[in-house]
Amino acid sequence: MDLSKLKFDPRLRNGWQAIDLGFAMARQWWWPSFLVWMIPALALYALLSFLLVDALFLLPIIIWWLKPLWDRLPLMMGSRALFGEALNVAATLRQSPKIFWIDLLPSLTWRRFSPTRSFDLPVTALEGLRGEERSRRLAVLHQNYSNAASWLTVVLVHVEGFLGLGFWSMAALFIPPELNVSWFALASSDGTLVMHFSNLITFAAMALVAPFYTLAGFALYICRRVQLEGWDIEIRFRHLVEKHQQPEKLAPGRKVAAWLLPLTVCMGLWGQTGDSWAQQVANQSSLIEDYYRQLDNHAPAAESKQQVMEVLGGEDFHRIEMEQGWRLKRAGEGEAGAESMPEWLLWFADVIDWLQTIASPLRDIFGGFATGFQLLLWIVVIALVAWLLYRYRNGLISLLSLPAKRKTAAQPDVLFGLDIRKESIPEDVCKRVRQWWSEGRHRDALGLLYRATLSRLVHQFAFEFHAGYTEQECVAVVSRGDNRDLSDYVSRLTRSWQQLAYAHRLPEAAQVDALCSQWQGLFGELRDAR
Amino acid sequence: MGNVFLGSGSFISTGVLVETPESIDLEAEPAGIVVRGLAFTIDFLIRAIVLFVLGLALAFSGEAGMGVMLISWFLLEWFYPVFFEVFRAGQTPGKKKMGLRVVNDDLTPVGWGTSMIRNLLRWADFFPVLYTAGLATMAWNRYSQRLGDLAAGTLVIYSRKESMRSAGSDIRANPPPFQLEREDQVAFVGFAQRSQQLSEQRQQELADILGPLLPVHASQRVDYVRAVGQWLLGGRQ
Repeated sequence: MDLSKLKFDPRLRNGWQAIDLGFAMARQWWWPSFLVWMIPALALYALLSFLLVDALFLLPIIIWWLKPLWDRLPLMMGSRALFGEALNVAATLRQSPKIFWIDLLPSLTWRRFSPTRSFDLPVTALEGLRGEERSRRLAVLHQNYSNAASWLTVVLVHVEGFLGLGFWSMAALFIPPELNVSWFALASSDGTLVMHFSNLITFAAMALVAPFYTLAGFALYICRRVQLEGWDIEIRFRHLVEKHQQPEKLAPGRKVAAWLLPLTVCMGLWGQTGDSWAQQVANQSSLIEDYYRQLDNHAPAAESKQQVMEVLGGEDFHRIEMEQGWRLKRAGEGEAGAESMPEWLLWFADVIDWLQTIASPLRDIFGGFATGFQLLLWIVVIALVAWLLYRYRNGLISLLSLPAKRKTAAQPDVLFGLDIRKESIPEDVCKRVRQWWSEGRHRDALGLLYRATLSRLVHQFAFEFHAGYTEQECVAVVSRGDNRDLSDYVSRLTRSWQQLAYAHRLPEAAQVDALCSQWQGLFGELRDAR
Repeated sequence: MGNVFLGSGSFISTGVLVETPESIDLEAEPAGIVVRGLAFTIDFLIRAIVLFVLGLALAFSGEAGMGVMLISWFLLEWFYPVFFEVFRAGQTPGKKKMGLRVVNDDLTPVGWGTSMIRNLLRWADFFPVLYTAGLATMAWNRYSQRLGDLAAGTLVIYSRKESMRSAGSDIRANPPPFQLEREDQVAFVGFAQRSQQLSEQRQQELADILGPLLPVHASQRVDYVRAVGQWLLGGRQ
């Protein structure tokens, strides 16, 4: 057994994945495995249809009963193909009498109804085990996958049945309804033609499913052996040994470098002992120079540039993609212009009309129930509208430019640690600020100015600050208002305050003075006006 | 029919490989008819039980009850899979039980659109009766896609469960004697983890393959290879 010829990836698989592997095999080797199953079965089928003219109903039953025999041929062929041997339908068919004979009696009697039939078949047909030995082997194999193998049988029995019914109904679809065929009478009649047709359908369903079933069982068996014998491990280990025993294959470039290094070292050693040391070094350096010259000559700049241009000019960089599809046309778009505007309205009206025509018979059915539902729906709609109104109340109020009713409770008393209550601000702010500044209490002075500004912004101009805002967020809120001077002032003041508070950098006295006088202009006046 | 009678099979692959723009290869294993059929059966039974219970409850509510029953049937039949595929990461209860998951064919999670398409097109797979068309396409398609999957560009794959169990606490750990590629590391780890399943003779056989590369006596090879596996699994004593 040479695992390096294996035609699949021997990973660890669960039962379902093993079955899928079997299905992939059946797809890959479809025609050979289908033919190898069908040819002997069809031969018997043809023979029997002559012999059993009076009992045609027995035909599919006999073919079905002999399935364990037919299944052996695709299995035999698959087991060889899996190790890279050619699929040979003729040779397999020639061997069939010998293959059929293996353990014939038990296969067709007490083992015929085993749910794990396809999983067990390789033990009988490929390993050739019998009796006690076979049971012991199966006991080991069945520790895993026996569940999946049973389900494989159950599912494929159903698929086979469905396929048969599918063929029947396909045939029925092609019969014109005018013929008025009574299906029941046809199915229960014993007309020879119908019987033949029915037999053929059953046979076709069996032949189509069989390669999948057999090879899925085989795949389960193989994957179980991969588990038990560590095929995946063996392959990697062999690969590893091979890799380490072969002399290293290096890429040409690396090869040169690898040769060059010992060469130069050797040269160095010789040079030290011999006479022609200088000569050697000269040779060596000219060799290296040659190498670099070659590199340079290899692709002159102009040529490579041209190559780049060619590549850029090529098709890969000029791909044109056409996209076709249906898209909703906006009203007022395109040549239809203004006229198309009511079109979607008309369409909408059509939909409503259509809904109503549909709804009218339904209404009859549902009666009072529907009225109840309707009421419920209306309540939901009203609740939704109310909720939407409540949710977006602020936006709506400002949209309607109603005088905003401010909740005084929402205004914070403290912003980033600064008390901004109205009461905490002295009457004459500017005087106090200038006084403190001249006394050298710079921090207190600017702090008061900033605090007073915030307080006025909140209480006079009714800006909404949340307690968690930062200085810059306050600036942003103010700048969103339309008072340009105010926002300008606030941003300048904030910057000065932040530099003093956090960076301990004093503003110029003149700047503070200017801020004070502007404060008077902005806030003093307004306070008087109120 | 050129090489039907004498054809040599090429490599059989069961996976699907997707390369991301970052050149990362993502691998997945599409699930076939049998396991998907079973998952479908579980979902079908769940739907049937729900409808049966609902039917009992609504049996005495006359025509209105009939209407509700029909609507629930419709919703269950068509939107039960969509609901679970979108909100439960591609897994209906049946798929979850069988360890399956629906994804787009680039292995991204499915969204509303794709899930709707693949489930509404079940009627095409049903044609002409009992999902015959779907079964045929799945058997024939490399990635076991039914017609709905082909239309929506989706796959049903095995959802992976990573197991990093240790090889057993009694094994000492030993660093590898030379540098190992990723696949080789997997082999060593597998050797350590599966020492319960592999027979002793087989373990010796496998370790003997590596014989010329291992710096230990023949009788200690099995233990040595297991120790390397244990080390790769994170054991450090």
